[in-house]
Amino acid sequence: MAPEKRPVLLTGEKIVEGIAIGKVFFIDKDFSLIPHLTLRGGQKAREKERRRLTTAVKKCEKELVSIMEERHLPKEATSILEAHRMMLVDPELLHKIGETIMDRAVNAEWAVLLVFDEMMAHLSSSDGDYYLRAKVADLEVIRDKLLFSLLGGAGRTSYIKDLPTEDFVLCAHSLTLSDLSSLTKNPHLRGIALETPGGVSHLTIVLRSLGLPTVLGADGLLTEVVGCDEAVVDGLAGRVVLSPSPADKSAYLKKKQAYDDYFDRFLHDAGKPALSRDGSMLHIGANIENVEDVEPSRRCGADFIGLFRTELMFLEKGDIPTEDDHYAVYYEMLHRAHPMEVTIRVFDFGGDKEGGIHATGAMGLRGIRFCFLYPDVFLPQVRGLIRAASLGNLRILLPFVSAVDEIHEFKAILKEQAKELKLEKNLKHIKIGAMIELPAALFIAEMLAREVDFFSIGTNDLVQYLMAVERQDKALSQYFSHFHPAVLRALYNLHHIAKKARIDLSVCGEMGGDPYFTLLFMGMGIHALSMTPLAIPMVKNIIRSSSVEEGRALLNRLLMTASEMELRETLEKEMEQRYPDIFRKEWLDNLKKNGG
Amino acid sequence: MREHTVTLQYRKGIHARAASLFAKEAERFSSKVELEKNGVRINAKSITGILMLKIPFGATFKIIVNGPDEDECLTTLVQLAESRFEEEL
Repeated sequence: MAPEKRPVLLTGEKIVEGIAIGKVFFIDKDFSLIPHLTLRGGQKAREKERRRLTTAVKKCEKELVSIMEERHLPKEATSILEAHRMMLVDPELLHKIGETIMDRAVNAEWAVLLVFDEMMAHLSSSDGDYYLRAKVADLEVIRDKLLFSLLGGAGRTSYIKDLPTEDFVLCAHSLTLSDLSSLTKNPHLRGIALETPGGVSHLTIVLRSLGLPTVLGADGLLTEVVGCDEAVVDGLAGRVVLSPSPADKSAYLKKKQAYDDYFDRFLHDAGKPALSRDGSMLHIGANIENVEDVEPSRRCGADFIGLFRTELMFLEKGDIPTEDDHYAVYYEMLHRAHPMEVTIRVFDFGGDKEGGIHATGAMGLRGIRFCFLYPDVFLPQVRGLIRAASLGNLRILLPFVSAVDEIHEFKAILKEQAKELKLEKNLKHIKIGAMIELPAALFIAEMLAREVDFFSIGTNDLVQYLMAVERQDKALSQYFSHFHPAVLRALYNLHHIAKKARIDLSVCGEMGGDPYFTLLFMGMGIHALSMTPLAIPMVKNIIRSSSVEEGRALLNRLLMTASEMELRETLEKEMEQRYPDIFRKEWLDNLKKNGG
Repeated sequence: MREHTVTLQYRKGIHARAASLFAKEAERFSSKVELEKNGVRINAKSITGILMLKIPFGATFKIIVNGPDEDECLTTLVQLAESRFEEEL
């Protein structure tokens, strides 16, 4: 019997709350476990490695060809596969890998890594070309195919299909979005632990929407996990326990049961409307990034889709999505969500999201500014939206708006494209909204309100720009606070402007789903909040057990408060006293996420 | 031997699919075909070679052909770089 492994405790950043216990499934994305061998035995051994390479290439080619022949793929997908096939059998590439084997006396796997590393480094030294990522991604696909074929597998996808048939937690350095989409189809996946840091990246957003207990930034995971059979992902405390002792395990099972009971109680009533005790109805929306998120949102009690982020399409494809790509996704989305309204936000590539796009940082080229600058990226999206609008219920949201002219320009583009498509009739089904997240937009909100059908407040960015502090900067995190009186006043004013102009307003940043603020929003008279689906049950519960009147009294008290600290303390104390079932002592750490 | 300097008119730059199309067209001819950009010269019948040349939208590069069908080959490839990518991809 193998010697008992001692428990190892790693700490990281909690991304999704909850506890997962299961077998370890380890993906070595870094290829550090791929055998790196120096060949002895002269010419003969090297020739043998070269033959292994040739065989692996032939096998991969066969696989690609059979995919192209068997499946009825759209023309574009076939042409990508054909490009991959050509790269794979490119005599120059094979010659280079072969030469590396011969000259440096390394095994075929190592030679593949060396040659591809060099090519990718060369491409990455490129000059701000925003299609670059796509090219590197193509090379990665070929490299992975070759490696897994050499290692006796049939490619990374099938490798990921070979998953445990009992509950497991996934441990890896990082994951690509396509890894995730194939992994999440497995019913036994319970939790995720990664070495890669969290922060505000696309990966984090997607992980949040999955709702499985997740910890990121678990340093040392990759080295410690080797030889471990079981692991605990504690998304409540931001911990990963490898090879837990029997005592650890039973303690965690208890904690898991307690947390699941606590959460499920709210989930049970999530389908009921968010009707306050004094008869005011609120609409609770879900923020999502995938068509597949619609059903889970419904189960969590969503009344509408308050934010559909479209950037992911770009990253998944690794290339510019075509008009047909857009149309297919939006059609599916509106169809599945029917009769709910769906708010689709046009591309918002921010400094905080990964992707090969122009990294410009938080200040600068983002949202609608990016869209206007790159019509080849934006126009297919606009056309796809117009076509899908025939289903109705479509709201288009423009991020990063700072001027009325931008709304005019967007409307002109919309009209022009609709005319070209001969679909002007669809325009009457489209509502247009502005994301209020820049200080400039706050000050011209009255003018903006005349031009749009709704406002959506992106609180994360709004706080970032109001407070002049980058969210990722840990040293400044005390300034990134949703409790700052300026934030409260901004929201309150916006509500009044929207009300006067008779347009809809919803709060859709992290604050919208933060239970500490729910009663305040009710007091302001805000009728719509949108949040990550898992936050909905708790927020709805608070609404149902409160009255707008109570909220108004609390708001009036807090509007007089000038100090951030005092405001925070008062609000926290009030909420914890009023709703002891939600703000239970043992879970308080998890509820306090914002600011500080 | 014939050569011609072209400016890429394809807005996405030469990505994998474009490179595969180019290499395929080059392959149809028996002439030797090379591309040169910033002093680096590659075999244009190799898709990886083309990719490694990193040709973005608006970049100029040289197409150099040498062989029995060099005239027709050059015309075809110049046309591809200057207009046809847009139509075919």
